[in-house]
Amino acid sequence: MNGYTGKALIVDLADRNAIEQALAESLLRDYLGGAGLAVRLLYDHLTPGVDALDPDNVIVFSCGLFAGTIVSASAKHAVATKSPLTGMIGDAMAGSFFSHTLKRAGYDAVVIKGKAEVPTYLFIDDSDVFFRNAEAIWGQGCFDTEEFIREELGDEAIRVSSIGPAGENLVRYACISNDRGRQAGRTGPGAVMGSKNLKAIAVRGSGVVSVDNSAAVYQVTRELNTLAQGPATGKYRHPGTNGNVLVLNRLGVFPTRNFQRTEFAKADHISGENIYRHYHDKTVACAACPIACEQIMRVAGAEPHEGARVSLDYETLFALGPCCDIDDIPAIIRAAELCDEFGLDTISTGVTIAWAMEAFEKRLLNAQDGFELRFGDAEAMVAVIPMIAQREGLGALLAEGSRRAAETLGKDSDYFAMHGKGLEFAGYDPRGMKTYALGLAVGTRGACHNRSLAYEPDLQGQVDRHLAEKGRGALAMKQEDIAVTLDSVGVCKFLRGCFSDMYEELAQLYTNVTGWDMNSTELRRAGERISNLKKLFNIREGWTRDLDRLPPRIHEESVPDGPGKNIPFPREELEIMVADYYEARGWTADGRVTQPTLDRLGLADVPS
Amino acid sequence: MTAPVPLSPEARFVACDPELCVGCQLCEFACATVKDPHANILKSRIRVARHEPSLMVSVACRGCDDPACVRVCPQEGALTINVDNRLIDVDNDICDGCGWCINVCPFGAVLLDTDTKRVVICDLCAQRDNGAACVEICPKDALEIASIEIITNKANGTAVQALVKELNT
Repeated sequence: MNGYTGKALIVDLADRNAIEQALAESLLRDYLGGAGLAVRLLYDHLTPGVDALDPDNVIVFSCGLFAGTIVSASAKHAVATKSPLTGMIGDAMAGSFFSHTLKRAGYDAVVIKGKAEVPTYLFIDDSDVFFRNAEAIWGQGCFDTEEFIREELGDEAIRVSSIGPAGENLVRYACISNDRGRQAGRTGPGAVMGSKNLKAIAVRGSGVVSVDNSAAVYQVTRELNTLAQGPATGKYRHPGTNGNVLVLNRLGVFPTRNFQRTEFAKADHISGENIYRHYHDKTVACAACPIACEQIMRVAGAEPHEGARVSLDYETLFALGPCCDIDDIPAIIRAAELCDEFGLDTISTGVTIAWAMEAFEKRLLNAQDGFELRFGDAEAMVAVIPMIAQREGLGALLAEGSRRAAETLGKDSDYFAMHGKGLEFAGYDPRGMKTYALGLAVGTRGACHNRSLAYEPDLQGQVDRHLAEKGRGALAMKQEDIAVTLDSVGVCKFLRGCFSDMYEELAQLYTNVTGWDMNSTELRRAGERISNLKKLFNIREGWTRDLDRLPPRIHEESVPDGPGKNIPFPREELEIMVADYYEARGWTADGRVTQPTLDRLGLADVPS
Repeated sequence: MTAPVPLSPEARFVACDPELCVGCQLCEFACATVKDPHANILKSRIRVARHEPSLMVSVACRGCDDPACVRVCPQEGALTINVDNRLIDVDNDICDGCGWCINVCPFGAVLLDTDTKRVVICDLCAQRDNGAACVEICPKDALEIASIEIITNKANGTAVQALVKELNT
């Protein structure tokens, strides 16, 4: 087989047993790889209705289809599980070398079930699988864990996906970290690993991922690589995604003080350009990536955060910075480093802290043992991160995420808990971006910019971003399907601007890599199929119509700042767009997948 | 402390600028594509050393003045110094893949082809029309064919620039 290995590894941690499962060509064609394959395997292996932190939950790692080949920016792998944060589908993507290595070890995917008796790490050594004792590293951070395992196994080429203390302590938004600083970040897959006593997965892959038409693939890669040095990726290369700060601030959609405001007075100071100028240390790429977006920032000569060094991207900067009304760059870099080391999703961490800051501001929360969180208090923000990871003091409440924390606190604090289905918002204010607002509301993994990609038409001026209208449903659907297709073939979204006809070009690449005929229509349908399967997963886990909504603040408070100032966003406007989206998807008026849609997409075999 | 390895002043080799290298490994993929019908990355003659978070550099044969690989080779004539570029020619009929050269190369630039059981070493893609594939594909222009004199001058330039920057801040 070319491109694929045609095999999944099925691991039972309780029995310390690993067997191979053959993956049929039809399955691979229908679900592509990466996120698509991960969600399908999860759907088939998971017993519906189990608690996300129960040993019976299942977690799937799945390589992007092009992983292991030269194809530009194709290093993504997907992690899918039932999310402990949302209770719905939790599919997270990560980059760098783990995916390539797992594919070369001989697997398209690894399905992990059960709970190990003692802390364990899995070592996939090509076709051999070892269950190794991890008690010595239980409690250690992600960076140290990686180094420890490579040293213990005596091979620098081994790639490790691991959890930190946050995952061990079942923080509901704990991430999984690989290659020092890449994360399967959102929806809490790290907590699922923790609940299984699974500290890490180490992989050594020395096999070949063969390619059907190597010369053609090389040629396309060179062309994409050339385009990837042009304007389509300019922002990612310099100054990195932090370049968003000034753009979004100018548009009045830069969330500040927990989405109370949408402009930040100190935007110039924390702009991507300024941070790059004063803190940039190194630019790093994932495997086979011509873009290199990862900007490592380093604090030098500024106590108390001297020596902090971490990859800092826009969402992290927004969440730990302006969302908490913080403009102290060294503290933000330190906080990001702590999140990475402890294994916390930076977006959920920052936005949950911002929720707490607002609760303190409104006197709904009181100081605990003298500790409190105030907007703008950078040192308190830094200090609370280890508390969250260890579930100490106030950290125990925040470890549950903003939705559950607000439920526990009560006092109408859910009004300003900025999440969708429990997943905290990324750094764009949906009030000034109406297509994006729809994408957040209907998103299967919750309010996620990355799964919806619906900010694109708003920010590129394809539509009037302040207007909620019919037609946005089809647009949001189109963007979602583009995102899920990229997540499944495993090509980074940052490359998407380099395609002139994405589905056509990806279909050709598919054919050249696998040797199987693929065309843009079939590929597009695969994307739609995977989007629908995620929805079916959610329905099976108890999704109800009222979950496709946004927090009250979004509707009760008009756009506070910027060019859209005072424009309201009543709930009815969102409802019109949501209904429009269901219709575009071919679903019922209450958002359920219909039989004709199942038949059309070849999903009739999916057990409900 | 290990003595520095003297490089031949005449040698031309693939040199990597660590300031520009992002550790993407595309050079390995390109080399494997050119050198192996299955594009098996283990066949690449160039290797990226990634020391996260901040040091990335790729390394291929650098043309030692008195190459240890040639000196230790127990098979007379298996490894010889190429008269044009001072890199190493491998005679596949004589080499038996014993691995002594792999063991002594100070740069880890001698590798074993696990299919043919012969060692492989960078030859600057001498038979290829467009020259070295790794240099061709490098998206950050971090790679070039250079001599020790060129990279020494470049390194000195980088050091001076860093000093000037430090004095100005």
